Amino acid sequence: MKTESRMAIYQAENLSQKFPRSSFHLRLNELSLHAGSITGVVGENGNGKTTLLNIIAGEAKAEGSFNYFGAKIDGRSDWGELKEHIGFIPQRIPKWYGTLEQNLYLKAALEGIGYDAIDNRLDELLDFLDLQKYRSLKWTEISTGYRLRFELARVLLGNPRLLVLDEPLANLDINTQQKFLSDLKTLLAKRDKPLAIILSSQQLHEIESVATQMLFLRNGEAIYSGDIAAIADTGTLRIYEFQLNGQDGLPPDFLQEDEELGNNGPYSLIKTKSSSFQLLQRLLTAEYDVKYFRDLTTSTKRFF
Amino acid sequence: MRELFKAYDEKVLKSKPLIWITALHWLFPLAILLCVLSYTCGWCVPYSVNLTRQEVEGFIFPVAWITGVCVIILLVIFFMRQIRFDALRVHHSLPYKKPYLHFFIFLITLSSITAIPHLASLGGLHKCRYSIVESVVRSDLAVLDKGVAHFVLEQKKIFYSQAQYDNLPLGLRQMAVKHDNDADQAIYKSGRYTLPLYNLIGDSIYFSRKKMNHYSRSRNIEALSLEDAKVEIEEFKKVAYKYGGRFKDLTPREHIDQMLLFIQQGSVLNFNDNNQTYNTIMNHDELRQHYSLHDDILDAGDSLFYAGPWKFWKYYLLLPFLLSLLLYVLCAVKLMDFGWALLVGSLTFVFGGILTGLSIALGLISNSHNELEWFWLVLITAFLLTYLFIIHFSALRSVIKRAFAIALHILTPVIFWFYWILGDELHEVYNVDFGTDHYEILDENSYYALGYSLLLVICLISISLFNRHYTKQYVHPKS
Repeated sequence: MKTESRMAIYQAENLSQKFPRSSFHLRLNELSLHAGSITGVVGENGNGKTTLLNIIAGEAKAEGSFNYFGAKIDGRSDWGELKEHIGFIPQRIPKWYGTLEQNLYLKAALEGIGYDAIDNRLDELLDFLDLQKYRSLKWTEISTGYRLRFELARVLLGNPRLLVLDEPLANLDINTQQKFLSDLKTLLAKRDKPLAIILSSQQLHEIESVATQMLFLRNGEAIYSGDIAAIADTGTLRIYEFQLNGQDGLPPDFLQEDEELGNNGPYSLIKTKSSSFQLLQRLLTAEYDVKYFRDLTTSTKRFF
Repeated sequence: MRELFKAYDEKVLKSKPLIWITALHWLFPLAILLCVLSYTCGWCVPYSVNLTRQEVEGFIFPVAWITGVCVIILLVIFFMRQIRFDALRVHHSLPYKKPYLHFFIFLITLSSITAIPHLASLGGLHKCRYSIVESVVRSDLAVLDKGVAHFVLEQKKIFYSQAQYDNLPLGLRQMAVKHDNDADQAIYKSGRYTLPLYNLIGDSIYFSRKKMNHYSRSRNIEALSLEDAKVEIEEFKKVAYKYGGRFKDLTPREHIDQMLLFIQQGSVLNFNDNNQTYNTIMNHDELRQHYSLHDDILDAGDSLFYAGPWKFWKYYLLLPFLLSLLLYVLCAVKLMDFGWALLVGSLTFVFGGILTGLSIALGLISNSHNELEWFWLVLITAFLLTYLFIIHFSALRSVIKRAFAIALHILTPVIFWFYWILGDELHEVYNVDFGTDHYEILDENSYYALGYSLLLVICLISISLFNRHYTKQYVHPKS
């Protein structure tokens, strides 16, 4: 990582937003997005993810103290200038008219990329996002996944320092989700300028596979906010999720001291001091046919 | 060709994005091409001395109509492109960062488009002017204007005031008829006496002059020796021949006698239109047509060569200017907000109309003493203050505030013009009440010319003012 990787791109303190005629209250004591980081915002529907992202993208007003790119925001701040450094992809992407290529050329030209450099810049970006063969198509001729990637290409042409993505994985198939997330990771590695990414999603496992920090929201409050590795420190026991073939759950006599059994839909949950190796060994020794097994100790899913 | 255009379009897209968005790069050349075409069509007017006004109209007006349809199509294309293919709007980067640049790009495009039909008239005028020797035609028309008084048969009498009557020679005074209770007096304050139009007293012809194409009820009488009158008649006929005039084979003296006989008979016949017996010009209407056309060529400005004078182009600018303002607002805000603004603006007019109607119906205001104008002044001011209050101080939802702000922006020229007209109306009453006719610092033409200039300036200022508001509404975080 580069030297400026810990530079704070965005900082919020005592962030608060209330809605008239609603009891919902979004409040965060502190939130920092650092250069080189990917922050995943998770939580159930209606818990404030989109509202938070709108606030960070400068689309919605909120109470609190805010800092963008090292400068404090006040009444005299030039939001036009600020927003030139924020790339925001809302959940519903507005339709593009004309060919995709025309839109990208336009954005590049408006961003001041010179006539001689514009083709190289666009080729480089489209190659990176694997979109070359679709460039001459129209918006209505491509799938939702490609629309998202074209919108990402358009936003990236603006050379943003903060990328805000609201539910980008919604409506994408599993392969496209993974491709999109790996693109984000590669993007961070490739960028020679500081960039922070924040994205919301319901796809916990996918997000957590690329995120460096997570924010879990419930009823507008941060249940967890911090590095992904520190999630495990929030409890003394480890949590595993599993499913057994031909069996609804485990018999109570399987449990050892200090172990708890629960369930989450079709899955069983177990809280234990054992490592995943030890637990799997016990299950296999008892000749259970393990269909699915996942360690939730470092996942925000443990907060659901 | 298509490939060539595509390459040109792409080059503009990559190098001049703002121009590409507005489509100026192809709409402007297309509009200029159509302007040249329209001008060329006008230039093709087959000028000859015997050309009539109707023939030129038949040539120019169809061109203007056809190009007018092209203008409508181009305007629809231009507006649709701005609404649908406005990449800035789609990519949520409202409002424009360079508002005046956008406005002037719109203005250039719309000015060139809306100019197309007018160029036919200009082309026709230039062709006609090119085909004539202006000084010759001007002197010809002067001769015709001077001599036509000896050929006027359509008017029975001219009016004289008491003072004018007192200065008339005795012979004429004897022919004058006094009208104590003439209904015309109410209209023509000086009309107390009437005289036949054409008289011979001794060796002098007494008559009044009028130009060929102008009608005048109140004119001075002029005396001319019989010999000079004969010269004028000869000269008139000589020039009129050039412009297609054909005459009965009469000497000037015989012609004068015909005129006198007509006057004499006319009073008996009560001046019916049946005067062909006395008319020595055989194709009077035709000659007048030729004369009119040449008069128009020299002094363009009426309906045929309306595009000739600079003044026309000065006021012509108003349409593309207002259209540019409308388009600018349309492109600087979200479509939905623009729709709401149109609704707010329309409802304001409806509400104002209902209030006016009710006030008149209930007898709260009448048409006398400019009560209606005062009422409108108060009403418009009240609307304006309400708009400003809603935009700046009210706790209404931002979508409503935006709608009012956009409506106010669109209505800015209308509101200003209302005030300007009301200012004129109320000012006039003030003068009448004080019994003065020339109280104004500015005459009416100058007053409205000043208003026109101010209107354009205010519209320009409004762009900057409202752009700040739109920036707050669209760029700053929303509540």
